[in-house]
Amino acid sequence: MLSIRNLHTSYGLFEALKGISLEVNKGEIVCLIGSNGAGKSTTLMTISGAIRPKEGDIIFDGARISGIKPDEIVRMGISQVPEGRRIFPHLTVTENLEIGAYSVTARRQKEISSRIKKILDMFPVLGERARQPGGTLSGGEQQMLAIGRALMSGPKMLLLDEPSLGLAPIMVSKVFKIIKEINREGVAILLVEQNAHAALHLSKRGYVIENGRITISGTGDELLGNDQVKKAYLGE
Amino acid sequence: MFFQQFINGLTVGSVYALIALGYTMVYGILELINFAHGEIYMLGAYLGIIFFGFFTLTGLTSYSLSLSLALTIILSTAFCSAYGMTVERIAYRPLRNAPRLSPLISAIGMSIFLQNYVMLTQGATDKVFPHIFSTGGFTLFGATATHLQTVIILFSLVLMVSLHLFIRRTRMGKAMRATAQDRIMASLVGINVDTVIIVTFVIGSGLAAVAGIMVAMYYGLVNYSIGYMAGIKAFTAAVLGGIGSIPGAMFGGILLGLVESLGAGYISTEYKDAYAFMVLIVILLIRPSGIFKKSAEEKV
Ligand SMILES: Nc1ncnc2c1ncn2[C@@H]1O[C@H](COP(=O)(O)OP(=O)(O)OP(=O)(O)O)[C@@H](O)[C@H]1O
Ligand SMILES: [Mg+2]
Repeated sequence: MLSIRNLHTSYGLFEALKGISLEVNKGEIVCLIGSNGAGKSTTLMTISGAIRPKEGDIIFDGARISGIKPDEIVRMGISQVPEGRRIFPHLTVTENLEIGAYSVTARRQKEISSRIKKILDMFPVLGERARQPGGTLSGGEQQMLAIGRALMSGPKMLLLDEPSLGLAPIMVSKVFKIIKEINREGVAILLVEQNAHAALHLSKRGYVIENGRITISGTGDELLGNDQVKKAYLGE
Repeated sequence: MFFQQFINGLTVGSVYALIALGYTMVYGILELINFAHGEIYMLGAYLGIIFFGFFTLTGLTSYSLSLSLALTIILSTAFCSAYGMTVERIAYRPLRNAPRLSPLISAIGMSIFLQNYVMLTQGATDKVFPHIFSTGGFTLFGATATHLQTVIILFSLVLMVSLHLFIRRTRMGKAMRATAQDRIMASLVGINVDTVIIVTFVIGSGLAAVAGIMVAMYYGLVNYSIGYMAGIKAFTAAVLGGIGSIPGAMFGGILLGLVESLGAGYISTEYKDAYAFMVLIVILLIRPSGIFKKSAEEKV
């Protein structure tokens, strides 16, 4: 479904991705783990089109999407929950959800309303906060809103950047449960996580990224049993 | 005298507010002070004179004054929006990811270019907008609001309310607010940021064009250099209200008009232009981010 080949991305003279290749197949949860500054967020931002790659191909559903603008990529079916959530602070919770459906043409208003309803069922607390500015929500509530907003476009694939960051343990397991649920409905997921243990348990396959290069890859279980992964990312 | 100065101030203030909106909207989205905006206002005034002159020559004005005026406003607005779009396209978009100083310099260059372009094509002498409104008006508390003043105040009010509703209620308005708050995130939810920026310039330039035509009618005279002072005043108004804030620009413009007019009436006309900046200094000392801005982050 998503196939990345030899992807290079630079910030000025600094090359953050030095030739990344990875695959996400239909219906899979794939995780990308790595230490701070390894290039995880850069990978997701390049897939979303917010940063132009210098070299390499990104193929989604058979079409080459590298170099295409972010709004078109959303329309093709890739949605992102970025690092730090990036809720629009002065839009209300409802407006934040509505804007998530910006790529859905206005004529399909019914579809938008039914999606909002579904998301409020998934996250009842967002319904209680519907008219509050997004910036006034707690970190956990903002994370739910960010996930809900990303689902509003009806994506085929979801990119999640550290969804468990800064959440209490109960919330972390709730967020992981929700990711599983979303995936069960057929949405492919590329998950970036520091919480490697939980992420690998959830994922079918995983990749380890170090200094802009993929160094290890395999199924979730393989990576959980890998000595290097154990030492560096699982703290065992 | 108070009410007379109040009405005069309200008239001028409405015009400042219309121009200030363009500054504040562009700043809200691009964090750029569009120095060429005053020139778009000046172009609006010239285009108003040109189109109205054309309709008078062809006999439309004597057939129907209101039709002729309406067409003048529509055409001038359309032309100014096209100018604004072009300025964005050639002077700002290529520099969107450049250091902040670069687009600022580009804006100053655009402003100088447009002034000289008008001076060369239209001449350096004043142009005249014919008197078309009768001198009568409404009398209120011993002061007179001329028909023209009433039209300017009401029309500005209608435009500002429409803009407010557009920003609050429509899909594009929501996209503009989202883009002002986080441009990258806006693109990640599927907003075409280029389109939003173009719409911002179109609206801002259109409002400046209307302001230009109204001032041309109000003072009767237009010169290629009028964009400079009006631009500075409107920018002051935008900063007064809190740059980036739309209600702030409306309020700041009207406040500035009133201060100027009352200052001229009660203190002295000599320092008319200085009052505006005195108020700016005082307000910025009390509320550094402007009257309407809640925090340094809040925009549009
Ligand atoms: N806008 C930028 N300009 C310059 N360098 C950047 C920029 N964004 C990221 N980098 C650099 O690129 C490298 C990869 O950054 P990236 O954000 O992708 O890391 P990450 O794996 O997501 O890290 P973290 O776990 O801390 O979020 C880092 O060395 C970072 O300093
Ligand atoms: Mg990151």
